[in-house]
Amino acid sequence: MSLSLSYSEFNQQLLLKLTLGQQFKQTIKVPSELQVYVPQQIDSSQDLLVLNQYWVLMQQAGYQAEGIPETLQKNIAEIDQIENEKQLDNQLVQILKWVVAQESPFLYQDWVIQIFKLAQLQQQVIPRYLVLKVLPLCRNPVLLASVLPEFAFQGDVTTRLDDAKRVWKYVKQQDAAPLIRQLQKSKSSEWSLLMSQLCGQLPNFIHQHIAEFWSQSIQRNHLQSHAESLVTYNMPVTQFEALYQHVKTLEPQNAATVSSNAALAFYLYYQDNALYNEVMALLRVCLNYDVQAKKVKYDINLDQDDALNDYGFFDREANLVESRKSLKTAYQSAQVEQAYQAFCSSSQGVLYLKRILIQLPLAYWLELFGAWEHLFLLHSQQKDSLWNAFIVCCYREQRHDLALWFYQHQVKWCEAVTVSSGNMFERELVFTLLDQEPATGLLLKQLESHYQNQDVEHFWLLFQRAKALHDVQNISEMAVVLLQHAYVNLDLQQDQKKFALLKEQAQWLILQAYPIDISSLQALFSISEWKQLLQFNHYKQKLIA
Amino acid sequence: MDAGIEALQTWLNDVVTMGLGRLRQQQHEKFRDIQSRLVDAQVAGLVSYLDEFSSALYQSNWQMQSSFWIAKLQTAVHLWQNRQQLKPELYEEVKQLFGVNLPTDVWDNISAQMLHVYALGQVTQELVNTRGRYRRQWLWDSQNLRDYLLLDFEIPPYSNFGLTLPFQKQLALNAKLYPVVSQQRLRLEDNLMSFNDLSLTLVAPKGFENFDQAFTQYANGLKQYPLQLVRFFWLEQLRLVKQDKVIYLVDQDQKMCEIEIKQFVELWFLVGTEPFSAGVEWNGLQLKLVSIWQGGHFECL
Repeated sequence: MSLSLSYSEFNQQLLLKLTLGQQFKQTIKVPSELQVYVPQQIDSSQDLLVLNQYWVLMQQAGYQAEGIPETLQKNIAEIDQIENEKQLDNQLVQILKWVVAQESPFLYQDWVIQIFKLAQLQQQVIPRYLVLKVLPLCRNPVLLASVLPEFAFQGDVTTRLDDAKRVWKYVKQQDAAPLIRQLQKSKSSEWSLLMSQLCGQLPNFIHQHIAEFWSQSIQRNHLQSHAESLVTYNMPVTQFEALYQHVKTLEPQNAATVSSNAALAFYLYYQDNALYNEVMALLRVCLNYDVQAKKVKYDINLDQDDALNDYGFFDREANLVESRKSLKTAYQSAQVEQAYQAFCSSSQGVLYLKRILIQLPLAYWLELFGAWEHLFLLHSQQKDSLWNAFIVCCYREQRHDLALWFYQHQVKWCEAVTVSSGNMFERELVFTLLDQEPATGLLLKQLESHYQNQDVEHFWLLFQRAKALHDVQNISEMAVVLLQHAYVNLDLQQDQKKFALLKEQAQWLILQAYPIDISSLQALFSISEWKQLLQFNHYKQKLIA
Repeated sequence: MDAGIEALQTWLNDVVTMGLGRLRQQQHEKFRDIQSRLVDAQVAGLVSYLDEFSSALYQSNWQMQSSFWIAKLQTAVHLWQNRQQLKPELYEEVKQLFGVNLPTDVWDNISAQMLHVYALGQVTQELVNTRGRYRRQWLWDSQNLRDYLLLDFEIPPYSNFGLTLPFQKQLALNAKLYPVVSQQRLRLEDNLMSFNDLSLTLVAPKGFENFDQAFTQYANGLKQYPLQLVRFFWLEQLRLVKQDKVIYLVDQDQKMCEIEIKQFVELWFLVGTEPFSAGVEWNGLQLKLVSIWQGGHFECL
């Protein structure tokens, strides 16, 4: 608090005089304290400069802090209440502090996520001062909502936390409204990302609130195709029946309403709706399995194509749009029959067929093929695509038994490290279904055999996907041996890429798998990275002990 | 140098006759002229005061700030004109401010001393008229509650900043004080210290318990050296408060001071509602937060 308050009249006069110069004609009343240094009557500019000089010195020397207003005092007292939160263990805090101090902390996002998961598991929260720094390193609002301290969500000081705050409100205060509003507002890509995170991590939210916003937000934002792929890859029908119960209430009187509900697969899986029989009747006319040719034959004219489109079988994905165009061109050709056959055996034709089959329930598949074994005999033209579709259908209906049966017979195909045709992501869905006995036992044997054969590539592919085996100690031990071996055989001058890959695998092992003695991996990391990883490994070991 | 100081006195008289209001409209050429005259007269050190003055003219409380810098300049003129009566250390300090370098052999006659201090803050700023930056490293003597300053410059490609002292640890530094009255600025000696001695246990430094202790120390410093500008204080048990868009630090006596801070949100997340210790710079006009220490966490802002 400056003295200028106690001498405010003088201070104001002086500032005005300085501002206006000669134009200011009033006589300045000099306080008695300053009269020791300057004449009583300020006449010249020199007098004015000296007056100002001493006045500023006096203000500096007499500066004091001001008393705090009562209202603020009350505020401080209120905030004083201590929150009861479990703080993140110090070892992990140290690692986070190290990460955020790095020049490119983004390189260590996986570390941060893994630390957050450990925190979530133990219901611990990270220190307040790390909140803003780790925020850009984690895009998962559900995870953030559980590991950020309550402090972060109390004030309204920053918008950077909004996503996590909406989730937090739902989880901690059972207030779903902000989250639903946000989902209704989001653009397509954000909507997809957030929804798939919610499906995986907060299935209860989907159960409770899907009805409130599903049809609304889909119609408003033209999200149908996103919603379809969400259903395909993230919402197994058996686990999200609430969605079906909701879309059923929308009474699909005609094809158009089905497609705008973006839940065709649900309508076809459950048979208690008016359209099921219509769609099935259409398909029975169009599709059949030819045992001799080992192919699914489809005989679809343009009217039928149109009808399927109305039901929502085809999304707006560019390749598929091309396929349908080719079908139309074939029908316009002079030799229709030939052109149609050419279409059927082209990759565009196969994609078209796959797109139809992928929506259909497995009960229909069995009806189409007659016996599951026929799947294995499929002609190479159709094999990859239809197998992918089959796996997606298994995932949607959560058919662990069929997945196991398929994996047993087609191990090589499932474990292909590179895929020349078809969608890697779809193929890998099979592993999510191999998470219970006897499937896990089978995977374990398979891993051991890769280990015996020193087949690093397949060992890693399988290990990383077989989530159920991540906490098996002797698999971790095998992995370390394989990595060590690969490192010894590495020509560091030549194989920079391979080194990077090994490092990545070693890091994954330390972060995600059962913690064992990792000292033989040290050479892959820098000294400071290694210090942090050792700390992390040690922490995990203690947690298990 | 006399010619330069005389020109400055005339210029200041001119400014107050004309009034700051008009100066704001035609400031550029007005400043350029006097600055080059000061450089010619080898009083280049005061150019930075004029820079501060000219930028003060466009701050929100510009009248206050401008009168502050006019007073600083007038004091400089006043001290020079009365240099015969000054104590030798004060005269030396004024000369250094004006830009006269110490002869190198002076250092041989100054004895080094061992200082037990914490490095508690660092402020880096651009130099105004040259490409380059300068840096203030603030050291705090926790026992005597006083600050020391390490000032260095980086002018690429000729020079880089010197040693950066590790924060948060108590250091035993071998250093010489500049032979001037303020006894604030240090020169590090070569055999600095052995970094191996750094103990791992962190003991928070002691500081002032309230603002008024700090302001009293500042006032005493002014008595020694009326041109004293920036001092560093370490204060304990502060809280952060925001009211009507103004940000304050509140001390244990429930007294508060406005602070200058650019990123409130960051600071809010750093300290929350709990008390913390802080390093602040005070120049007699504005309080600037430099570093904070809370629990085991230290951060230089």
